[in-house]
Amino acid sequence: MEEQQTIFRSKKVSFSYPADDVKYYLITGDSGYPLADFDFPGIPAKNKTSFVIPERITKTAHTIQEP
Amino acid sequence: MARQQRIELIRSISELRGSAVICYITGDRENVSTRIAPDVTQVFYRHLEMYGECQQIDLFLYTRGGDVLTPWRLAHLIREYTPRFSVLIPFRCYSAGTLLCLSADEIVMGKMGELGPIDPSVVNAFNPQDQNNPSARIPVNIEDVYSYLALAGEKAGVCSNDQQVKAFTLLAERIHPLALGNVHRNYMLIRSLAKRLLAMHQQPLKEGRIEHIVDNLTEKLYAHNHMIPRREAAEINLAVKIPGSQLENLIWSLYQDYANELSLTEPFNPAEQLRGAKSEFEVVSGYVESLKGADAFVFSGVVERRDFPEPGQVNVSILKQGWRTLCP
Repeated sequence: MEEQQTIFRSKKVSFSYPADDVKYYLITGDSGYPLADFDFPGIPAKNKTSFVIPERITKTAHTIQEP
Repeated sequence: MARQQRIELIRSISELRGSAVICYITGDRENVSTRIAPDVTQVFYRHLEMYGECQQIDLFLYTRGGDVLTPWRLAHLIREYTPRFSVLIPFRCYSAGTLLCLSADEIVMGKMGELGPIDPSVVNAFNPQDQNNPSARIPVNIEDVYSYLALAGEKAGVCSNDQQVKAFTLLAERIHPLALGNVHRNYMLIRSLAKRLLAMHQQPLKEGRIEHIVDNLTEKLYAHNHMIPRREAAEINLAVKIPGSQLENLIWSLYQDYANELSLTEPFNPAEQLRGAKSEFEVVSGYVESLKGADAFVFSGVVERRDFPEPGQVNVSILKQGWRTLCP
């Protein structure tokens, strides 16, 4: 019986791991958690107990909707 | 859907469950998110006072998390009005939301219901600076720090006192000691809070069950963004209840209504608000709602066209943000 030989040819494979965009949000002591790129002239806490932090929020946009 | 139609859904859930239903949504709309925070406590108080004492309160909850101390305060406040507290989870209920669930006698999870680990990231003035944005601080995940120390001990063979000091010194060179102190304080805090919240149940949990749940939710899931479906939640001994199809449909319909109302799947784009050179805008990004009334978290601001180098860019100022009573 003849042996079947399988010839493997090397082929370059590229993997792509899409990452979520990093956005910066302003965190204060209250419930608001807006984009830090905005200006906040009306929120005096910004310079006291608030921080700008990076956020990788999994995209909620363009998710599949029910028809 | 208008409030009137949403009220019908809330009423149907309330009648099916024999409970007072309060809905709490912290919106995760891109650019205008909200989170669990202490300022919501007074909003809850308003709704609870309008209901008065009840046989059972159901909290319909959608959130990605927030402040870890607020669930403790909210759980105590809700327990002032009822001996039996349940949560209804249509979809995401992560981090501080999961923490709040621990205090509930029953966690009703739909097919899409998700809990998350309670392994917060902490930030204070001593956290590392973000290299890409010097005005930003990088939050430090408390389990990451402890995981590093465990890695040093278990995998890198750090066992002598000298080696342990070296591993810790290396860490302290990268992260300010006061930030590390904050991490350790929160490490202790989250475990203590979780245990005390679980001890609030109407029927005390069996010995060992509390520790089992806390260990699983803090350090045994290994990823902060791990999504815990209802079967896994039941496996780690949480008080999960599977809703019947009628309730399942109702809670999912109610979630979809809020998702549409708050446009959760569309990023907030201020440029779309612009009419002329300058426009005021208001955008709602959170709700506390019940049959008795509705409160919304509102961002108010101004968007204006400026002479930016690139055409089409706008400047956005948030002038006010906070909870606002819509009715009654």
